[in-house]
Amino acid sequence: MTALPFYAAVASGSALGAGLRYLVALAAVALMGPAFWAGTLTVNLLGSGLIAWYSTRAARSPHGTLARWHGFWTVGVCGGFTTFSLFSVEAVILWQHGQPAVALGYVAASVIGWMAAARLGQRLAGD
Amino acid sequence: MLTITTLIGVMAGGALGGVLRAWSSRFGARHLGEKLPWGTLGVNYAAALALGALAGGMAQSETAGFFWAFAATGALGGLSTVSSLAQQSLGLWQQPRRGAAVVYLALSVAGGIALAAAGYALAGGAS
Repeated sequence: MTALPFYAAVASGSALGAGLRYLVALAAVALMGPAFWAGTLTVNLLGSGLIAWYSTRAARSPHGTLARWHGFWTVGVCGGFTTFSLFSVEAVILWQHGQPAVALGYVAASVIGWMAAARLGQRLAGD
Repeated sequence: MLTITTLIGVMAGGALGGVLRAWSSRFGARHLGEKLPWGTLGVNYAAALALGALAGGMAQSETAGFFWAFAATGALGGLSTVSSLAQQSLGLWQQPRRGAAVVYLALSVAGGIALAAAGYALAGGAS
C-alpha cells in the first residue's frame, strides 16, 4: 500500500492521536480523580516510547513499510497523542493552587520519564 | 464527558494542530538551521502560551464544551508535542551533542512553563 502524501498522513495521524489522548484523559479522570495530570503523563510516556521505537525500526530499512508510514505514525499519531501545552499548563495550575512540591515533582518526573521512555523504546527496537 | 461532538472537535483540532506543527518543523529546519529543532520549540512555546491564556480566561464549566474540545484539547494539544521533544533530545545526546540536548530540553521546559504562566496570568487566572 502506498503511503499517503506527507501532510495528509500527518493530519489523519494527528486526528487519531488527539482522539486517543482525549479518551485516555477521560479514563484517567474517572480512575484517578483529583490527580488531573495522570492522563497527560500517561500519553506523554507512551508517545515518547513509541516514537523512539518506531524511528529506530524505520531507520533500519529506509525503504520499508515503517519508513513510508513515518509521517502518519510519528509526526501524526505520536505528535497528536502527546501534548506539551497541557503539561506546561498543568504545572502552572498545580503551582497556582498551592501545591508547589507536586508541581516540581510533576515536572521532574515528566522530563526524566519522557527521556527514559524514549531510551526504552529504542532498546526495545534493538538499539 | 465523552460525546461524539467533542470527540469530533478534538480530532478536527488535532489534525489542524498536527499539520501546523509538521509545517513549522520543516520551516524551522530549512530557514533557521538544524543546531536545535527550532520549529518544535516554536510550536511548543506558542501552544503553551495560548493554552495558558485559555485556561486562565475561561471558567472550569466552559471546558466541557465543543470550543474547548476543538481549540484547547485538539488544536493546541496537537500543535504541541512531547514525543518529538524526547526523540530529538535523545538524538542530540547520542550524536553526541550532550550540551545541545540539555540546552534544548531545559529551554523547552523552562520556557514553556514560563509562557504558560504568563498566558494564564495575563488572562486573569492568577488570583
